[in-house]
Amino acid sequence: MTRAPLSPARMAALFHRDPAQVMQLARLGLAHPTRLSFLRILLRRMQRENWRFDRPVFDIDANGVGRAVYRAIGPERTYSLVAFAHDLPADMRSDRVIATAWDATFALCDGTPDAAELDRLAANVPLQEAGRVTQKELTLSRANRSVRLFEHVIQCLSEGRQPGADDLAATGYLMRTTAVYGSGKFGAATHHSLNDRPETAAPFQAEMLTVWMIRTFTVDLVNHLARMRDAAAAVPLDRSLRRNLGVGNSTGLGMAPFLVRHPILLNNWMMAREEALARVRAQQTAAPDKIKRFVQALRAAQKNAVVWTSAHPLQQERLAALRAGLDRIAAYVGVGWDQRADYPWDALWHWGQAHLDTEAQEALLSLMLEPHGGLIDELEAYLSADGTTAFAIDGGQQIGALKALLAKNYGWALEVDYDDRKAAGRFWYVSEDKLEPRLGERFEEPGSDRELPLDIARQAAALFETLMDFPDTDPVARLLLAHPQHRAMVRRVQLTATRPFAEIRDNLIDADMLPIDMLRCKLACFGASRFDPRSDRWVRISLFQNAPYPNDLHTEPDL
Amino acid sequence: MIGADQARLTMPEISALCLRAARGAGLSWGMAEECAHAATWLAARDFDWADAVLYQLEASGGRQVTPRVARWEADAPGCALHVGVALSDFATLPEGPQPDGVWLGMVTGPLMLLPFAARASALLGTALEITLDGSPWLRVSGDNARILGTELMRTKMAEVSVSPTRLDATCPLQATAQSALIFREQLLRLDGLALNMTVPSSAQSAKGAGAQGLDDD
Repeated sequence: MTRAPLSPARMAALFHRDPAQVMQLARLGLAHPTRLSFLRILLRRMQRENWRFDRPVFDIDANGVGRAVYRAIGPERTYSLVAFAHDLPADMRSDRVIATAWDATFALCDGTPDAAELDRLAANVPLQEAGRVTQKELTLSRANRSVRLFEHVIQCLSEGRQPGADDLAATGYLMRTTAVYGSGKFGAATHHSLNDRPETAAPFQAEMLTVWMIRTFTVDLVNHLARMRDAAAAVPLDRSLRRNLGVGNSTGLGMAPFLVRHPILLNNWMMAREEALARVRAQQTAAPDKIKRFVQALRAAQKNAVVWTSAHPLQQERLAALRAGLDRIAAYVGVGWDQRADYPWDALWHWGQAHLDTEAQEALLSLMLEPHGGLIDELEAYLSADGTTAFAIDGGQQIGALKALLAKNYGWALEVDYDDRKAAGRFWYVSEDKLEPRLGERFEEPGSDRELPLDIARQAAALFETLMDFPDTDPVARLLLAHPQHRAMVRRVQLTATRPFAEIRDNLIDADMLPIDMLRCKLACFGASRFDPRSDRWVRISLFQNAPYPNDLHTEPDL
Repeated sequence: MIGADQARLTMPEISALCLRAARGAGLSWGMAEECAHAATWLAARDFDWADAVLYQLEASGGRQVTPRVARWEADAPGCALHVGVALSDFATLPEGPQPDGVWLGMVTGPLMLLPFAARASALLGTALEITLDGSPWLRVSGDNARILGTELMRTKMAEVSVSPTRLDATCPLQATAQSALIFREQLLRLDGLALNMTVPSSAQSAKGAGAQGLDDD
């Protein structure tokens, strides 16, 4: 997605935010989910296309061991979540991606697996990384129970009573995934191979479908285990209570490099969102039904901010700012906002810029998109990317043009002194034992000679310095022949010519950089809510909290 | 069928493996990206991608070539990955294959040239014919390839020329495969190279990344 395809909304171009503001890491780290988030796209499509859902297999014993199959049946194709439930000793339960056993393991299959395929999956899926799946599988994942909540809910239900809403809200999920692998990992189907399917064309749709069906499995499992414990007394989990449950997820540094390694995707995700905001701001009037929907979304956000808790001091500070900001928006919308003036949404946006801090500004963005599905939902078509189209370097480009592009899109990186111990305090690397991305302290730990190329700012500055030795009319090919070490950076710079949101505009090796900001940015694009950082390097979230389940998807308004 | 001594990898797995192996072999990140891209290009068309990559990373030729109009220069036989990258970089410049072709000199592991010749073909909007020691070997039309000299496919070193030719309408070798085979012995060698770009974990790096203690609320 470049700026070109968006030209039909001509007026919106006047309302675009500057990428220099949008792409600052501190702001990206305060991103909120929107109606363009991937899980919303999935739910809307399944509702629009009247997908059906069933559970042809549920063979799980009183210890919670067995298998189940959940099917999502679309207009053309069927997808099956195959779940394997395990009896995991407590001392083996770990959220780290490096764990070797889990409470449940899953694969999302193309079609309905037969008995032989289920046996094949049973031999591989519980092993996760140590097993192999095939092109018939779209994802591979696993989850652990919430020890705090899972047993408590079963006990309550088996005694014929509902668990307390506060207890459920405190954790927010019965299970949390520790990895959801897709796109060709461990033998699974590639995203590329599914590109011609409308239902998997948007990013991470198979992964979102997997997690959504896992959510149903977790509720079915506690209901089932409660019945196995006491069939006569047991009651199922109340519909209103289960609604508040999502699927937890722990995300660490492994996800952080994604946004840097996929600059075209990052650009598309951010550009679609920014285009959506611009289109809303460009509306000359605000229809009453849109204002009503906005107010509903605002109230829901206020409610969510109240129950969203975190033990992390940084997040507590952010939550306080969010709550105060949402209250301020509500007060202004109630009395100060002139809804009948020209361009009222733009006026509201400008008020927010002047009176809200960054956390609440980004929340306001999400809220303003909420009533405008008809105006913006089509932008989901631009979220995916074919990186191959931008992979080839234009060797014929003149050095002067490259230099100008660098100055325009990387000016933020060129003034930093990378000899400073703070500015270059960290380095990213892949750990030898776990093959996981890690963050090291450059001046305290060995290994910086093997660092990952996430030092984009420093590379940009080094390239700029090298360019000074070349005449402006020389071709880039000549530069790369003499300095192949700049090849990766030249590629990035060239692709920003039409993709101004491709780069996080901050120094990712600075000693004060917060990796959780990168994580939240990506997770908000997924549609995650209630971010709960556990350190500056990993974060807990919940997916699909307050979303419909398969059996109430089709009665859900405003997806 | 997969033999007991083989494994099947998806394109993203091939890309990730070759990126790390190439970096572990000492290539710059940008060149490692090119290597990974070339590997998947070859794999998707059922060429012997693993052998081509290993040959470049373990026994490669010289990495410095000097593109000139019509006839490139090098002090030693050039590694096909580096020659190929230069070919695509210079494709639209006078040093490229237009209008009368270009002699690239002696090249090692010439199969690795193919993805870059394809890219040059796409940039120029014309088909390119590659000859080895004067014999027609391959024709690329954008992202598609036709083998002209099957007996030359295992050539490890040859003088290479690239010339514009008519567009090939039949496109016999298109990218269709979503996965490709590799011998386990080759996989081990690539994994071994990839290990060279990793760093032993330290207690300090694990701290705060969720590695400490049980996490089960």
